[in-house]
Amino acid sequence: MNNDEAKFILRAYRPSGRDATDPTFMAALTQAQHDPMLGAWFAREQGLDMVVAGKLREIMPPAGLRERILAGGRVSSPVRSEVRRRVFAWMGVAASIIAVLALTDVWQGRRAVAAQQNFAKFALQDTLRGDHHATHDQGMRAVMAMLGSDELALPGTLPFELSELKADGCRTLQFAGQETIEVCFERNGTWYHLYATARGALPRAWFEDSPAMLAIDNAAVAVWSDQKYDYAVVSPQGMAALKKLTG
Amino acid sequence: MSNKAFTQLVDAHYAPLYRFALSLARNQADAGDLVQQTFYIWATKGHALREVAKAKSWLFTTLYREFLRVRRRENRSSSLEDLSPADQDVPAEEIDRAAQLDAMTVMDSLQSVDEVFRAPLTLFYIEEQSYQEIAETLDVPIGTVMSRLSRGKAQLRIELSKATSGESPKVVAFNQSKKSQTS
Repeated sequence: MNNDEAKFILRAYRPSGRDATDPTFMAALTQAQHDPMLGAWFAREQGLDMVVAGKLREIMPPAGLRERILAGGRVSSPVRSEVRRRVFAWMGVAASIIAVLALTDVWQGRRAVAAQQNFAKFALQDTLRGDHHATHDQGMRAVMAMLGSDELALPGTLPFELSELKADGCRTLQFAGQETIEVCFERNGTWYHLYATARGALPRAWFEDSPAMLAIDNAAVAVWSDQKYDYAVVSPQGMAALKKLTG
Repeated sequence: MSNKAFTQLVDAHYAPLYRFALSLARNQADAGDLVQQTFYIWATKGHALREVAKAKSWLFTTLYREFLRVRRRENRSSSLEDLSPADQDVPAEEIDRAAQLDAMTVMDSLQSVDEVFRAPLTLFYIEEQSYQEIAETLDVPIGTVMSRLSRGKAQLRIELSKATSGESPKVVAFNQSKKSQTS
C-alpha cells in the first residue's frame, strides 16, 4: 500500500477513534505510525475533521420546527396496539443502554488496539531475536505436526491447552505479566511462530472472525482471539508467506 | 405509537435530521419541510418497523430518499459523479483558520460541496456514521462511500479555504438552483 492508498482509506476514519478496531483501517494506521510524513498528514486531517464536525453540530433547528413535527405526527398517527406501546417504552431504556455501551466501546476500542499492537510487536520482536526451534523438546513434536498440517485452519480456535503445552516442554515467556507460549512450526516449507496467551492480556477479542494483520519491516504478524486465548502468528518471510497460512 | 413515544423519538432525532436536511436542501424552509415530512412518514408507516433500534437509521434513510424524490420531481439534473477529484492536503494553519469560522459559515461551505459528496460527508461529520452505516443509509456500495468521502473532503477544504480567505462560497438555495437550471 502506498501513501496515496493509505490516505484514501484514512479519510473515512472517524476522528473520535470509533474505527480503531475496524480491520479495514489497520494496515493504513500502521503505515501512518511508521511513516512520519503520513502520520503528520493524518494528524492534520483528523484535526480538521474534528473542527468541522464540532462546528456543524452547533447548528440548531429553527424555533417552532419541533412543535410543527409533533402536531403533524399526532394528526397522522394510526391507532396503535398495546404491544407497540410497550415496544416504544423499551426504546427509551434501550437508547440509554446503547449510549452507555457506545461510550464504553470507544474507550475499550482504543485500549484494545494499543494492546493488540503491543502483542503483535512482542511476537515479532521475539521471533526476530533468533531461532527458537532448538528450544522445543520431543513432547512438542505432535503439536508442531498438528500446526504444520493443512487440516488445521488458521486463524481459528486451537485444540490444545496452554498448561498441556507447557508440561510438554513448550517454550514460555512473559507478555504483559502473563505467561505466553511460543511454538515454531513448518507448513508447506515455510516456518511460522505461534504465540498464545490466556485471554486477559488484551482487553477483549474483537477480531475473532478475521485476524488483524500487521507488517513490520520484512516480517508480518496476524493477531486473533478465541474464547480462551489471544494468538499471534509471525512469518519472518513477510505478508505473502503469512497469507499462504491464513488464506 | 403513543404521543409520549413519538415526542421522545422527535426529541432524540429532529436536530441531527435537520442538520442533514439543511446540508442537502441548502435552505432552512426546505430543510424544515423535509424533516417534517420524514416524521410524518414515520407516523403513518414507520411504526411498522420491526427493529425499533433501527429507527434512527430509518429516519435518515427516509429523509434522504424524500430529498431525492422531491428533487427528481422538480427535474433537477445531476451528473456530479463526472466531476474530477480535487485533491489537496491540509496545511496546518488551515485547521486554526477553520476553527475561527462560525458554524453557519462551515455549513455554507458544506452546502457548496456537490450533492453526491455532501450527503455522505454530512452523515460522517454530523452523525459520525461509519462508512458502512453511510453505505446503508444512502444505499450505495462501501467503496463508493469511501471514494465520495475522499473527494468530498477535498472539495470541502477548497470551500473552507475560500471562506477563511474571505471569498464567499457559492451558496445556492434549493429553489433558486432549480430556477437557474430550468430557465
